[in-house]
Amino acid sequence: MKRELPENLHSTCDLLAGSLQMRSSDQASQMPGELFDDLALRFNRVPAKAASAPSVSWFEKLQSFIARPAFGVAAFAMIILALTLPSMMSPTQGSGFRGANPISPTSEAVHIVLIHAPSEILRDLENSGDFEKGAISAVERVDDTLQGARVMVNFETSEITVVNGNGETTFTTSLPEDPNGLSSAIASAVSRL
Amino acid sequence: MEGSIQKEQLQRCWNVCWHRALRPVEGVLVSEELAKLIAERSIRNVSLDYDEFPTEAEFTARALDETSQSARKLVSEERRKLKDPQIHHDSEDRRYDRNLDLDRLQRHDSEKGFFDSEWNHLPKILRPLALATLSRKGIKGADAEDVFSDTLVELVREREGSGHSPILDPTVFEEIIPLHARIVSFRSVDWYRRRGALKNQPNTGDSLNALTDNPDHAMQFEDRSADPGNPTFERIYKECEEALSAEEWELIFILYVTQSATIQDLIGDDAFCEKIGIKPGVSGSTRRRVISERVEDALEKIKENLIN
Repeated sequence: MKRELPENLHSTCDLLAGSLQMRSSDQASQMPGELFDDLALRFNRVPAKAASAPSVSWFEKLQSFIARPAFGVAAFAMIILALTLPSMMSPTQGSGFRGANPISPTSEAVHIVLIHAPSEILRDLENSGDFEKGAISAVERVDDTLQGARVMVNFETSEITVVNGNGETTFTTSLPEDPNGLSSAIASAVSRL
Repeated sequence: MEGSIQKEQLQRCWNVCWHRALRPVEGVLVSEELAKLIAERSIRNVSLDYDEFPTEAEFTARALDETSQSARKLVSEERRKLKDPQIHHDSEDRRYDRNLDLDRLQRHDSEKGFFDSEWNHLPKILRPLALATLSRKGIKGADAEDVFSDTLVELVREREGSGHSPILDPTVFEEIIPLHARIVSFRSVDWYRRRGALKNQPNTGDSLNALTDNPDHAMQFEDRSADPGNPTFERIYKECEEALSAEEWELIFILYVTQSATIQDLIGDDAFCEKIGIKPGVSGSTRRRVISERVEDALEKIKENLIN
């Protein structure tokens, strides 16, 4: 492939060829099977095709639908389900795939921890009205004893880190360069939990 | 299918992300199990930013970037937690004896500057590496020492605009080596500019052999990640992202980065040819000519846009 190119492009080809920087002595471990399944579920959605059916009026469709014995059975089942389902459902911990996690109500508040933050930033955030005042706290350095889901805004390392209830770091991003964007960056990080 | 992901694409992405997680920076080595966790989480994180699968090139570049950042962050946190800067350091990396405490090096006081005593040990680590680089570039002896001193100053000098010193950039200590190597490289260019000619090269100074021939501590001067001429794919993608179309990135990625297909393979792939604008039914030779032209255009753009 390279030979067919003008000579002045050979070095660019070499750069690209070495850009993945893998060592042949390191053998990659097997890809987790569920990783492809989850990503395929996310990206490989086939759009539903419109069914071609003979034209029937809306009123006729409704009449024929209600007249079916299955309608009565289904309606009954729906009522039973509506009454019992809330008590049967319990929030479960999802896998590491944030998109697949069930959205479960929780009474545990998310803490926003500002590390080594200038005092005016803490004041601005509290007064912004974007967050509950009690949710924001400021510390001077990284505190390993903190528990619970939290968003840590580290002004020393210029990073925002999202830590879930299990203490796992699930997302990291850089602080926005524009201080006016800080509030929305924190909100975006909170939404990752 | 447009916007969908194929298993082979994800497998390739997995392989490179796993490798990047294992060795996010030259000199850092995490366990294979940890690399697996980091790579998986990074790929999942990136996938959440898309409703449709982008090009394989874009997805892989973003996944690699996220993997590299996550791995470095994790290593840094563990070192801080265990108060041991040597955690996850590759035992086969013999460029220097031990890592220094990056947090201490980055400790800054508005009046005293970077004052921590850990700085006393940094020149000992960086000097042989810098002198070797400078020697290769023809700068030796007192001149090399002068340039080296300048590079140390450069590490802590606040950049115009951001007011941010380069020493604050690294997440793990090992990143200081390539960072300093880049500074040395730029400073050597400045030195030559000041001298104005190549002829003034004193034939004195440290012997490269003396530094490399020691059987116990043979210095490895070649740091692939330090070489600005050997950038990672995520860096190439970031710097040239907008210069190339999605189709051009796909071509370059398949042919030269992963080398998962040849031009001959692409000529026979009707769907791919259609995607890059080759009408159905055209001859193989026309397909070859069009693909070759697109490839050359794309490579020219990368060459022009890549920051040296």
